[in-house]
Amino acid sequence: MNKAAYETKSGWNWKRNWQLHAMMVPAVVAILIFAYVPMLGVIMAFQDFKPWLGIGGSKWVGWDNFHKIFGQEDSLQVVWNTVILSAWKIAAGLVVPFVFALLLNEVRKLAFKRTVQTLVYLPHFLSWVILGGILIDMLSVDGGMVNRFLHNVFGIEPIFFLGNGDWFRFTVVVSHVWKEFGFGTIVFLATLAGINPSLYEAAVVDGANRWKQTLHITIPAMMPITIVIGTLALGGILNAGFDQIFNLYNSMVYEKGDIVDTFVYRTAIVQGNMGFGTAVGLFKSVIGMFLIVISYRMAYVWANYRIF
Amino acid sequence: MHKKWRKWSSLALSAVLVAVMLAGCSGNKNEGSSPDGSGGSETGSSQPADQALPEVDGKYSPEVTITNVRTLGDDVKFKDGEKIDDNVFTRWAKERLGINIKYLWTTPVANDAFKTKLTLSMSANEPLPDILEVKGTEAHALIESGKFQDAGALFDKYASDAYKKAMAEVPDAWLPYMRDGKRMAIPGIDYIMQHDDSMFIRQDWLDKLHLKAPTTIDEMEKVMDAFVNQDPDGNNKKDTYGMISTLKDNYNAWIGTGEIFGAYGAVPQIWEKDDKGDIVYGSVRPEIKQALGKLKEWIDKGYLHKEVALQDEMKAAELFISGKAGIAFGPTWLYNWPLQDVVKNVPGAIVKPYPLPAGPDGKIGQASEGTHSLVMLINKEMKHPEIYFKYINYLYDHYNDPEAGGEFEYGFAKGYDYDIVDGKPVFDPNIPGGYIDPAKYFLGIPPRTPSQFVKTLAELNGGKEPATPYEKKIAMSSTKQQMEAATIVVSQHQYTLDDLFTGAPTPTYKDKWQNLKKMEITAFTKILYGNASLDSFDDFVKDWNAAGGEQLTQEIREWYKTVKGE
Repeated sequence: MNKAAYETKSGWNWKRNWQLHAMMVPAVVAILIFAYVPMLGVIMAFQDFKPWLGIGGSKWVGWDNFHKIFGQEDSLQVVWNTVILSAWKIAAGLVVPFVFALLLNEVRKLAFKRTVQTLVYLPHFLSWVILGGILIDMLSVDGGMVNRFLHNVFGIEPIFFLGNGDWFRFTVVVSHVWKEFGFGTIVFLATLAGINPSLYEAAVVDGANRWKQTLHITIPAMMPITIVIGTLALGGILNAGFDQIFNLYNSMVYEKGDIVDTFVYRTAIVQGNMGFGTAVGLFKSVIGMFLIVISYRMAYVWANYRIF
Repeated sequence: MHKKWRKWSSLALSAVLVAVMLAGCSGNKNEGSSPDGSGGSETGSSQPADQALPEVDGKYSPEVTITNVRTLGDDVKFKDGEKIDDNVFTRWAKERLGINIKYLWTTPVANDAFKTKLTLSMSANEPLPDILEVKGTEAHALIESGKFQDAGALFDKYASDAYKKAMAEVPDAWLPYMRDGKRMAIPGIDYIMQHDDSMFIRQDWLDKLHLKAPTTIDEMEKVMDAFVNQDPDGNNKKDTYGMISTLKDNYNAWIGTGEIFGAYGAVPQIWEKDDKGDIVYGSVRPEIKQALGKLKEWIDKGYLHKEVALQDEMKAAELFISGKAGIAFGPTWLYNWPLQDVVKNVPGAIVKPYPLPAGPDGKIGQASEGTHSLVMLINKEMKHPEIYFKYINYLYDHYNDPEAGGEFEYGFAKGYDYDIVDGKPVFDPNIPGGYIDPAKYFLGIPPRTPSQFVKTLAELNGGKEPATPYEKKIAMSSTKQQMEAATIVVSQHQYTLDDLFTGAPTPTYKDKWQNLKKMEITAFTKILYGNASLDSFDDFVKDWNAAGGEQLTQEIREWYKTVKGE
């Protein structure tokens, strides 16, 4: 083995590539400053943090903040609500864009395909503050668009979408999917575009029809990216979407709609209790990390897929 | 050669990026501290602290500097070339009083930017301004920091008679900031009764249906029934409501519902005295149960919108503005904004305020908004706090109730909040150069005499000829409805209950309050929507007490004893 070959193999050819490494410096510095240095702030989770005393001077309280998380009567209910809402959101947020991308991929007319793609992508850019107001009007029991439609077409009595706990969860999941599935579709469409056409050609030669092609080429080719998205989404299972819930929930649906983030908003942010807020954040991250590790492992064992 | 150049150039580019990024970080820091980079108080640094500052003709000479921080909302408008630290007001302060006003930093209003910036600058140990105005609820933590001085002592020593007299009208305003007998912050007292409610009714609906304005809850029920079932808007559809209300989380919001409870003898969501004179939480008093039962009945009968528990004030007000509802409880200014819009939307609509209706036992009640929302803290490092008082005293003495022919007879500055056309004063909207309110530039909290505004409105409504410059200005800038509402709230003022707990959060309050609040609102909403029986109210009271409510009540009684010395 000559020297050049060895260096290529080891991947550390400093002499020839140091400029390339140097180009990474801005990104590395940025990540250090904006992602790693702030991590020191998790220390606040173990303090009774006072801004004027700073991290160095605030009193240490050990696990007190964590005891408080679980000491509240409704903390279990809140965690449970969060997990349920998120699980539905993750599941629906995978299936809908997946199916939609498959359907859109079968469309032959390019202009139509592009238009649809743009239209379903648009709601992603609307803020929940605006959508909250619109949804409350649209879903109103009293002359709201949706209830009028249901009544006129199916003769269904008005449904109190935002006032009944179970319907509230349903509304939250559906409106989330409506807002975000266009965004998810783009990722799947990109994957579809990357499938080697010769696979389809070979399948046609073997006599496979459209459905068989989808079943044996398209879907297997999409599995890896689906698993990646699903795995990463699991890490955020304790984030059920603060903006959305906060703009839609009300006292009628607290029991089924109050989530960790809204709970923290009321108990920590509004009252300026930063130590407690940080503790909940840390707790969420630890759970999220465990879930990512587990699901990553599962993806490897069952789907033989590794991200790294 | 070419290749090499490319490598080097990209390397140089990345170096530049790093430099820019680092510069960006440090740049932010500079911006954060102070416009000219110095920051901090340099007030009279050349003077020994115990010696009075030299004055010539009522102004400091040499000039002194006072530092402050503030928010700059969209409502703060500037004339060409003026800015927050150089405008008609700051020039006035410099020329009249010899005081230079300097802002260490300013923030927008949105997203609590002020609170965030203050927290960050405190944890970075940056110098605090000489005077700092914050929301009353945010002052407790700042007082705890020990960075502010005994403001009450300074007030006693330096405040002018007019200022002291104004403060003496609302002595309880100090209570929240009492620490070991010291008053650690000066409440930014506001006009009293301004936010007291009266009952606004669609007078044209009453006339059309030949009804009289209700004076009791029973009569009000009959009126609402007619508003709902007798088609007051004449469109042959049953699409009108008796009353607008918001039962989302705050029952004492500016579209009020507390008055209905008050008619039964208890106001929810505030700390009030029970029949024995002990402090209790209003929402757990037995009278609440009756009122909840009544409201549930009204929701079932369609007097209230089915979604009252979803609506905030604006959503509720929309019903009134669009001509779909007949009654609204709200403060004296409610007609000016937003109810007045109904006149634009519905031809012939007339809105008139009436006194609050009485309950079955003749009771009336509502929650007060308190005496102030902002409070002034004075930095321990400020060596000459009298500078602030010199300024605020001047405004209390001359601007608040200006003398005829004086400096502020028509307003603060000609060409801003008034102008003289053909020898006569003109006000908004007739000022040639456009109206700009210099009071928005004032340092700290605008000076206000609590008894002033609403009482004047009521007196003018009673037929008093406007005599003083202040009365003339009020007479010109107020609506008839606002004046009538003022007369009503003055006459019903004895029914307004103050929230008696205004202190720093007690230990139980910190740990349990949010949970107790959620418990309360969930239980009430269930009753209102028939998901739980009215009798479940008794269970709620038991649960509430067990979950920390009882202990909290004890703590709050203790607090009240210490501040009131009873």
